[in-house]
Amino acid sequence: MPKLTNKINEVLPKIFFDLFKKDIILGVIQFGSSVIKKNPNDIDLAVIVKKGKLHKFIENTKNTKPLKIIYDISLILEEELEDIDNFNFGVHGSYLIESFRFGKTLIGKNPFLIFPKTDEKKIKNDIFERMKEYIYPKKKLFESIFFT
Amino acid sequence: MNPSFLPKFESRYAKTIKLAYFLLSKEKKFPDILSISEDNCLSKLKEMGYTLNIDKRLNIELLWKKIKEQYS
Repeated sequence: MPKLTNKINEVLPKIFFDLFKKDIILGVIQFGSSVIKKNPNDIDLAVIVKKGKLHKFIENTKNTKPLKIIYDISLILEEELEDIDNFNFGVHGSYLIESFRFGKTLIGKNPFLIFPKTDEKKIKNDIFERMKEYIYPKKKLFESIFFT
Repeated sequence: MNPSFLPKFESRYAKTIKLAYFLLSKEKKFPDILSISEDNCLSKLKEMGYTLNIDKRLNIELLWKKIKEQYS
């Protein structure tokens, strides 16, 4: 298994390059802590699928062999960027847009660069909401340590 | 308890401390804040007057209480 490294473009799976050449994806962005850390715990990738190309993406990836490195891949549809003010990704809110914006473009282009910076108050409020999800499991974990 | 759960917990604890510092400080830069170390964030929180100790659970409880006061 290849060593986990922040020099990700050296080990990026060929499938992403193929999808880009076939005009199915707009780009691949590395984001999160792996952009900053030399020895990251995991590697987050955002794969942006071109408008109307999701079915082609599925067709072209359904028989792909498991990747040698476990990437945490977020699949984003270009259509989702049409209403950027209300963008969310599961429990993640506006701060994720900033993470994508500051990400490293590995293939193609980063569509988040064209959007204006998200309002600081909105980022903080969305992080507050996200932290609720962080706090609850921690309480459960400590209960497990002390009471089992 | 599954021991393999602990590294994940440690990683999440570090991120929680960083985000807590981001929310409680005047820090404006996100996601740059994530590049600051957990220890550095704890030091800065102490400088801001938060009395932190070695128990991670207590730290989280304290910081979360303060965050809720500001954002709820």
